[in-house]
Amino acid sequence: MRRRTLYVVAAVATAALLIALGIDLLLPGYHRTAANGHIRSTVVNVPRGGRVCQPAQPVPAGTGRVRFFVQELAPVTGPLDVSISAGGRVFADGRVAAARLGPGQRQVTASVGRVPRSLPDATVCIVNRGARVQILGEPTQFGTGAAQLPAVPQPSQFVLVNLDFQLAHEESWLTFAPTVADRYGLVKATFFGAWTFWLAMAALLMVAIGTIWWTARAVAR
Amino acid sequence: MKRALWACVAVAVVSGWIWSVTTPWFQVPDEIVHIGYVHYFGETGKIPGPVNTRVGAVDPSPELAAAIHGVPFSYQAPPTWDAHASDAAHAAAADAPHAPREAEAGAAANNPPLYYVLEAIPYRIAHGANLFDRILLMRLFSSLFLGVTTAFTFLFVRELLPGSPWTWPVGALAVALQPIAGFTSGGVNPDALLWAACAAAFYAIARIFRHGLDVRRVLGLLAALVVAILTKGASLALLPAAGLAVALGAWRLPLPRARRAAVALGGAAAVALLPLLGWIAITHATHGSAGGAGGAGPPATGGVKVGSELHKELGYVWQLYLPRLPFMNDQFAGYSPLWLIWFQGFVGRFGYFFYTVPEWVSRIGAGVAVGVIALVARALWRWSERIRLSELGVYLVMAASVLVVVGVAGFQFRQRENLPFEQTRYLFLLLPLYGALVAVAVRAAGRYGRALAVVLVALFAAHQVFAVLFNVAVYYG
Repeated sequence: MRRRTLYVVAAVATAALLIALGIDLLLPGYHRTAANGHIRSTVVNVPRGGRVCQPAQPVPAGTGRVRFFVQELAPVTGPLDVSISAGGRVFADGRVAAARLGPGQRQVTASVGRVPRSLPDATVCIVNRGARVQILGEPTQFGTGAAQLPAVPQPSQFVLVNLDFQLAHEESWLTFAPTVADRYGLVKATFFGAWTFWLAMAALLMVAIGTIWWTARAVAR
Repeated sequence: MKRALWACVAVAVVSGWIWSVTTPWFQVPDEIVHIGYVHYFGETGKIPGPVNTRVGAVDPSPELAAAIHGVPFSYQAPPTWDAHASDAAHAAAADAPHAPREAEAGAAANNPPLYYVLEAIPYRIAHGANLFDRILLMRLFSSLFLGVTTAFTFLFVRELLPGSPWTWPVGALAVALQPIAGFTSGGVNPDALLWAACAAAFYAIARIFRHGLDVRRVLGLLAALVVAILTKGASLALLPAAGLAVALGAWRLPLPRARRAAVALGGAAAVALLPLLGWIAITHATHGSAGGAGGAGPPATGGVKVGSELHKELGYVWQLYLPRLPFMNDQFAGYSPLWLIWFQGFVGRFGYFFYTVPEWVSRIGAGVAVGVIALVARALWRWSERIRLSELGVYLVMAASVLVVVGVAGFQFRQRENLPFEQTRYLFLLLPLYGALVAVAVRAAGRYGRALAVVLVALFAAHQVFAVLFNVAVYYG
């Protein structure tokens, strides 16, 4: 096969990669403002009308969605009402609509409206308006910081409910990238910063494109 | 040839480094205890004993604990996104005493010591630096082993397809750009060295078949096996095929029949038994008994006896890779490990085997895999007269041994711990075969082979790019 043909293949492959990358980076999505980091190794039984309240949640300004995990016990899950409050005042609330989710751990998201300011010590409450459901969280030995659970038998006495907080509006990865870069440099090597993210991404792209073109040259020999 | 080899190695090492710097600290499987092992050895010069080898047990030294709690480590959640918390974690690690704790090696203490001894080099070089910085250097060092794996895959493919030099880098790049290989080698994990040693063993076996048996080649194979055995117990799976390769190689020697038989038997026994004896010696030295050094995956819990339920075990091993037969108990209720564990895991499951790329990506991967397998089948059909069946047989024995060892280890682990065991990386001892399959496929594509080679390498490169971005999105997006 002629060298020129292989270079054309490499050019098409590079273009396809860049186009796919561009589409991926420009697609809008809801990105996280915070995550409480609790694992999902136990469940909280929440009967109809039951309430789970997870205190001590730092919720950043701009948050507009709360994501958590459930396990379906009835044909339909929800609706589930979700609120974010602090100091006795509700700052945002919303609802997860009733839906058939299927077996296993399923994530659900409630749009709660935009939280106007950072809340360092918020409480997130989930009220079940539908049939019995289980909410996922992490068992803990101590009551401090644990969720208030419905008064029904529970596998774990104290639970930290797994919660993710998302932006109120959709953003592309490209727009959100500076935030990713700021987070990326944390709790790694002491000299890491946002710059290491850009460097790593540049290296990633260069290795990919460089390898495609080098291969075209190498196999042409 | 040399330039192409080094180019492939460079791609592998830089890919590993990209994974090293993008994955949060401690998120590569079992990284906490592997770092704990290096920390203990790097500080004391002593191999840690099996103080607390319970699976999942974490009993870190004050310095390591400060780092773990500062991140903070979680199996299912991102590290902190708070700059003040990050500074506090760095400060806490800096202020904590370096004093090691033998138990911080956790279950990793069941592993042979070679990888950790080598990792102690970057650890000591950066000894005065913050632990977070030392971990970076250890990770970057570990990535070098992916370069070694890639180099030996290149050389292995060269032995298999000596007349098609353009295929050698294609097979090597398939390995260099494999995301799970990069993710794991880019962390602190002995699998990186194990895979490199296995790739060397594949190369040594191919040399024996192509160039004949001599003392140098046997020593080369033995060296690869010894490195593998000194790294992880799972490498015992290599011994039957290695012994068989030496026996077959000896059988072709131009010697009288009786002498040939003696050399075949002696050589096979030496290659298969010497590393095994070495392993037993290491186990005795570090554990005081022959029953502990690390298996295919999470190592054994010290002292636990596992009952042998052979029929159940056989059923488990079968179903781990193949569809269940009607008379077998269902060992994997509701899912097929072939797709969910092995294939999706190969395409992209990261962290502690928790984060999987969307299923449609795996479906595209399956399409590519079917195409590659079809081309390999075509090659086997067309080149059937030229194929060295004995050599092919040895590779099949190698693959079967790895599958069985992983299966048996998985069954015993599940019985003992009642936890899932299977992870795709346990099969990465066979990475050179993956590279060889890709190389054979492009060779079999005839006049479109070179164009296909460029397309496949572009797919591998794209796979790596999107896998890294997926990983970044999981932890930071």
